[in-house]
Amino acid sequence: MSRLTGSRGIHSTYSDNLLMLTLNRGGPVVWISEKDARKIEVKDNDWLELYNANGAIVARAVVSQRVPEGMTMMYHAQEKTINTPKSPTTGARGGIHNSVTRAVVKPTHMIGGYAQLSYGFNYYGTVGSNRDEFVMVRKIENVDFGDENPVTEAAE
Amino acid sequence: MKVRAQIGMVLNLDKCIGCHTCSVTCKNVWTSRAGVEYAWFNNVETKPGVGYPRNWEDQMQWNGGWTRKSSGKIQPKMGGKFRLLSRIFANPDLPEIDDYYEPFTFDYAHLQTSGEAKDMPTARAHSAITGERMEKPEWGPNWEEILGGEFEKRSQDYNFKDIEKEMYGEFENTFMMYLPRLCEHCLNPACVASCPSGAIYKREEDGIVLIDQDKCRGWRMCVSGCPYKKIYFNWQSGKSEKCTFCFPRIENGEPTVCSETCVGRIRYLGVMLYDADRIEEAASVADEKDLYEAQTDIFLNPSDPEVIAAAKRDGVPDSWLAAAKKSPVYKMAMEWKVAFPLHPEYRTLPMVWYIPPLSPIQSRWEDGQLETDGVIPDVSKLRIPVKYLANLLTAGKEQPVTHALERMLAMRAYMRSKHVEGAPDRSILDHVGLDKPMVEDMYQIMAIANYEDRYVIPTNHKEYAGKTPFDNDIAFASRSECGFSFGDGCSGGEVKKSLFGTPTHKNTLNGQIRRQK
Repeated sequence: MSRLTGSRGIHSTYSDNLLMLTLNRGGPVVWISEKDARKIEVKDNDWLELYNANGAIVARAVVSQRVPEGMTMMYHAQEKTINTPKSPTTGARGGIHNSVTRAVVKPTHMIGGYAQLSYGFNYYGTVGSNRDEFVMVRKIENVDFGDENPVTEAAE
Repeated sequence: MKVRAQIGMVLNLDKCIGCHTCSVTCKNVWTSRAGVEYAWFNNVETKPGVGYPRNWEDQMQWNGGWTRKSSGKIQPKMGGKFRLLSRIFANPDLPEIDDYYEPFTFDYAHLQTSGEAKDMPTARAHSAITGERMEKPEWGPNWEEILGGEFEKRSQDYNFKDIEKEMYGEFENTFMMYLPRLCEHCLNPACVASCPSGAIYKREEDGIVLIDQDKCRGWRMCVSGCPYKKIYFNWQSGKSEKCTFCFPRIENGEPTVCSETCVGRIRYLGVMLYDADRIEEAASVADEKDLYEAQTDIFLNPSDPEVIAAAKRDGVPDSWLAAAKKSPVYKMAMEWKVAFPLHPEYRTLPMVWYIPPLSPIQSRWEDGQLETDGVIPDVSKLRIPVKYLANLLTAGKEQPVTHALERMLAMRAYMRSKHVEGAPDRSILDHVGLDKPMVEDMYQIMAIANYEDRYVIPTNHKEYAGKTPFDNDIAFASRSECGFSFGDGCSGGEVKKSLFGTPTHKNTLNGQIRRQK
């Protein structure tokens, strides 16, 4: 699992805007290889859960030849505020790219107090490339958005 | 000879980065209204892929464009006038909303108003048409972005015709390119020919194809007739709409919105002179592989004194003739031969042309060295198969595409020899039939791409428009109005009345869902 910056997104600028979501797939997606998708019987646009000891992500699959077998990737800053169901593993709403990763301390962080040389638990640490993680991927059969309080339909 | 002038466009696919700025600015300006949520006058597709609407390129399915009869005459592929009229109430060639995509919006307001709940709130997707919740969008104007989706589905791409495509599904042989698309403002538009109401016209003075919103009766034959699927039915107003080539901007000498905002500077606008008497002849050539050359044959050289005299006789303004001489479109299409029409086999003689993209040299990647034919790298080793580009741009004829790619590679190699090695290598130019001033000009316009080099647009002439009173009437009647607002001032496209009664629908492009009553 690796995190990428989007092709036209800087942080969360474009992952919640209606037009940009329309020009994407309208909500969080993770990319998986065609070979892996076949193995776990996942088709393009199926709901997936990715999980490990750190946590879980819920997003839809983009099945692509662009991804090598055994790898999955997620563009960063897609938030669970947009059309994200609950995670069967955690029982809570979705999860985001950071849910399955953690920022680890490196020795220079121990200096502390010098801007880039500081550490915040799971927030501020080493660069993204160190956030590659092993995850398990499975298909979600029963999608539950947990809408116990559906939208109240106000008059127009 | 009957000389007419048109503003043509060239898109240099070699520089497209797939940022969708063209699509977004176009959408905001032209289709941010109720009834056309699903419509993108400009969209960018990732190729190979089936695109938007699905499989639009395959005219075996959609019957768009023209077909050449055994008599040598052409007629719209969906049928002649009689057949067309007999089917106006049941048109089997019409794409449905699912062929495009079900437009959606999100219940953003719920994020602020949800109240206390066990889980954090999420903005659910809602259909912009029914207002119903959707579990997930199923398709969109850019669904296959950067090769998203199974190869098996994407490889239905029409451009794989006559290509052994299986190997391109392998990770190691992956290739891709972006294809920005808009109305082609064809010289021989199939939409015009298929409209039962005579509502679509091609403007004499600048070649822009428009739909008269007052005359359109919503038969949607144009939607089927257009092989590029670039006419959209507004299901709120009951009329069809299309790319206007931003004519109010063009008339003022400004580039279209998609061109103006292009981040990669890939778009070029310029005047093309053509012989209107020979359109039918060019569109009717027997072999579809000759259509590209046939179209170039009817373009006229703006420096030829005979052409200039004929153009003056036919009322082309002097400012247009001056612009034609500096036209980047003419240079790319005719002098350098690096730009090509999109799917000439539809016989529509499109006027939005494309420069094919270069791509990494596959063999270099494989064995660590570049194969060359002595001077420049071998084009047949490019990652994107030349045949694929030829199917897209020249009805499958590879030679012109190869020639263009070689010239582009040669331009790079020559400029590299000049700037990096400090010793310009003329032999590179001889190899592809270029000379020094030509390659310097190519470099200036294609690589440096300054604003004034990319857009050479003469303003519209009042006296010229005066010869076509129809346009003049429209121009006066619609002065100071907003486009596509259906007599509703500039309110942003809220429709008050439509052909089918009161509006059923609220614009959802502002991020508000349509609430169920």
